[in-house]
Amino acid sequence: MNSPYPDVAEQVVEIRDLDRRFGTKQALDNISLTVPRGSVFGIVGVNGAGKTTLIKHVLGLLRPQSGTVTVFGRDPVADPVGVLSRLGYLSEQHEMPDWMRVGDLLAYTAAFYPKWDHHYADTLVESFQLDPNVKVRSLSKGQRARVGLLSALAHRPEVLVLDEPSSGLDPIVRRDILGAIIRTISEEGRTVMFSSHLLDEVERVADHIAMLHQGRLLFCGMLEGMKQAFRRVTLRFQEAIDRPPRLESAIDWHGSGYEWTAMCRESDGDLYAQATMAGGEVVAATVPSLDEIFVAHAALEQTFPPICEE
Amino acid sequence: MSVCGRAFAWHFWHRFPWVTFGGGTYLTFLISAHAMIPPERWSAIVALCGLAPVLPFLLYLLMIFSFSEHADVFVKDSGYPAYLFRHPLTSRALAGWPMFIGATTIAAVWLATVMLVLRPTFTVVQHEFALDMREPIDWVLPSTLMMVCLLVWLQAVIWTTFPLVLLRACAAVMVVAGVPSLAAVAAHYGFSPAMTCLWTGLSLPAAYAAAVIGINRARHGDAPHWGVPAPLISLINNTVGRRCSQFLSPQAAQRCIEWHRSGRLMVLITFASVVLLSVLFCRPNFKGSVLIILLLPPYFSLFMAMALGGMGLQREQIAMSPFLACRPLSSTGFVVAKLQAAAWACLLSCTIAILGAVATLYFGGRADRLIVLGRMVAASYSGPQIVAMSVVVLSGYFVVTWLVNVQALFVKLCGRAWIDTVLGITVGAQLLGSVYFGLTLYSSQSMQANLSAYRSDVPAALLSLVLLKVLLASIVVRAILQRRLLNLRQIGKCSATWAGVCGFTILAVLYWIPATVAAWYEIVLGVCVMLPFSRLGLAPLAVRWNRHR
Repeated sequence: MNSPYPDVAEQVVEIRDLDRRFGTKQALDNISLTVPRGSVFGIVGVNGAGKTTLIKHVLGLLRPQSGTVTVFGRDPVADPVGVLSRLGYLSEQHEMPDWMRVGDLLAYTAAFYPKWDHHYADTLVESFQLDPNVKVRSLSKGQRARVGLLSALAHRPEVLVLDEPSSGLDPIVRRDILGAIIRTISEEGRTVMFSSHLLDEVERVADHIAMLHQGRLLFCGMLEGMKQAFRRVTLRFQEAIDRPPRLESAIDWHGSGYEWTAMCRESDGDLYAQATMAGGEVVAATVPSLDEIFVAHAALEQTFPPICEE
Repeated sequence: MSVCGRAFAWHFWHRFPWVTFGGGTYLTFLISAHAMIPPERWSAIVALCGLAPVLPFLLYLLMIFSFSEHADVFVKDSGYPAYLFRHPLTSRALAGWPMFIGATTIAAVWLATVMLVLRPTFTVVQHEFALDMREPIDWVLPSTLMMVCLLVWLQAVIWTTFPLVLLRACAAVMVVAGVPSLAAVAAHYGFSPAMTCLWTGLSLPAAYAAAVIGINRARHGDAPHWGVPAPLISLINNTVGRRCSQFLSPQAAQRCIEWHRSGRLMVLITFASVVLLSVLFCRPNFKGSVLIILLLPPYFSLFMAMALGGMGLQREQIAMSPFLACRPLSSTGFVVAKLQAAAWACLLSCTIAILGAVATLYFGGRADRLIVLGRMVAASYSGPQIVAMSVVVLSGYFVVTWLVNVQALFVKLCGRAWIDTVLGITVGAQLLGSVYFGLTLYSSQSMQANLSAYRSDVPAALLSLVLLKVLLASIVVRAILQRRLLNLRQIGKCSATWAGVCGFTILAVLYWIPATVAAWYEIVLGVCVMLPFSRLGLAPLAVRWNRHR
């Protein structure tokens, strides 16, 4: 890749052994991951999985209780200006000063970024159909999201961080946000890190993925790699059975009687041999969708060691 | 009590378990003290210990029962919790039960305090302070009704929707200051307790009616709105829009937010108060000192300090807002923006107060005094001396106002409610202790002897405080350097500025205060203690602690 930032490392975000506890709740448990430059890095997980906590550590809004977080090789807590000036951030709540007019808010935001592109900002104001003289408090949720997105994009950040960007928004605003992600990655070397539980969106734009569940990292790596790490296997049995057989690699079962479908981890040995041992015959084995993998993990009581691709 | 009433009571008690626990402990303590200490051994010290928690406790109860712990007085919407509007209850019940439970609780706490602490205390101290409290019924019932009246009117104001933004703030100030003032005025002009009880009691149904109407309108979205004329909006859009079109630096942008948050409000409040007082003082035969007008800026800056220290976008937000925390601005940068906004607000407020005072003297027919004073000064001092004195006085006035505004900035900047509470209670206790100490000293028959004894200890006490301050300052500076919030050169500049202001103040004080009042070393030590260094130095550390939680 021909990066415009040749002097910096290929990993823009590096997290090592990160732990975070809020009172008695373990919000993040020994998380280690890296975000490669130029990637679209999706963080998925159910509500309360620890996505926002992880993003807040990247932004330096939370101090690691143990472990390290570095962004562009710097500690975001020790050097907030050095890190935040190269980031664009859109929060889930689209929090901004209600009393400001849109134009004032953009002028305020522009003051912090020497690389603010006024022409690009004007283009976005036009394409998002925003009125600079309208007060922020009178904007709809979708309009607020657009203003937040504009503020995060107009200084052309090296890394765009989006926390649940399209949660609760209509399809048109979601399209704008996805468009922004695509535009950002089309500019070489830029990186997008976003959390979501709208998996169709993640599947459409992400190339790397981290799946969190109850503060633990279940998977981290290329999206395709993740899909290849699982198989959706349908087994047929000679006789009807009441409960699914014990397969080492199965993490979730559906079905009844003669036919059962399992979500299996590819890494846990030969599926066909395991199925034969259990008295069944594999009639179909397909690559699951992200949605299916996600749902299977969300229902899990037991946790497996994370699958991490370097 | 009906199911609905019990539900509201449960809601209050279980939402604030610490208040229930603290209140219960306090009352148990009072009952124990009352039972264990015989009346002849009851002293003012015991009373002070007993009374110290009651004021913050009553204020806390006012806040809880009016649902104002998260309400914003600077918005038009009702402060009544919106989730309660969804309950299948009439507006009368929504207003009535919190009012009834709150009034009963506050009255019970106040009566318990009166019976367990104030009565035995007054029996002991009335000779010393020449108080006439022989008939408790004369003051117990009116004071209890006044507390209840204060609560229900505050509830009505917080729960009602207002057509303009600042009206609720004005109404809240009127209630909080007006109800006790009216009671004091009634006592001063010799109204009978029955009369005071009558007007206080009659105002309760009016407050209830106002609250019911307010809640009814709020729950149906029927908020009144006084529109601003379209040409005025257009004018504001054009002027304000152009003004904020570009900021010269991140600091300037952040200063704009801080100015909007607290600076302009202080200027507006000072302006309104100065105009009001000037009009009052200009009335013929009105006896009031113009000095009150000059005291307004330092007084308001004390209250505005709380708003200045906030790091949230909403007033009720305690922690630093992610919107601000994600700005690429150093923690020191945030503090500098606040200090600058406070400086502008104090400068403008002081200017308004000075102009107001001069205008009051001129239009109130007291210009001759000003002229006489001016001639006296002109006759006694040379031109350069007068200019130097004016600079000293004006800059001292501004600096004092600014320091009052910013010296406790670090408390709110921490973004921790518990620090706020602990420091608030500590300062309140110190204040009560000082008042008690002053009163005891003043009323004591051997005041002169005591005063001399205390006076001889002042240099040693001041020296200890200065040493403590130096120790704290070194710890703060070390922490700032370790966290790279400022470099050595910037710390040097801050120290030099502090030393400059300190030296300037010492010279001015030495010039004005005769050596018979205070020795030079006492003045030097006193000024060193008074001028904040560690408190200002703690501010960037507090922002950092709040920002990276």
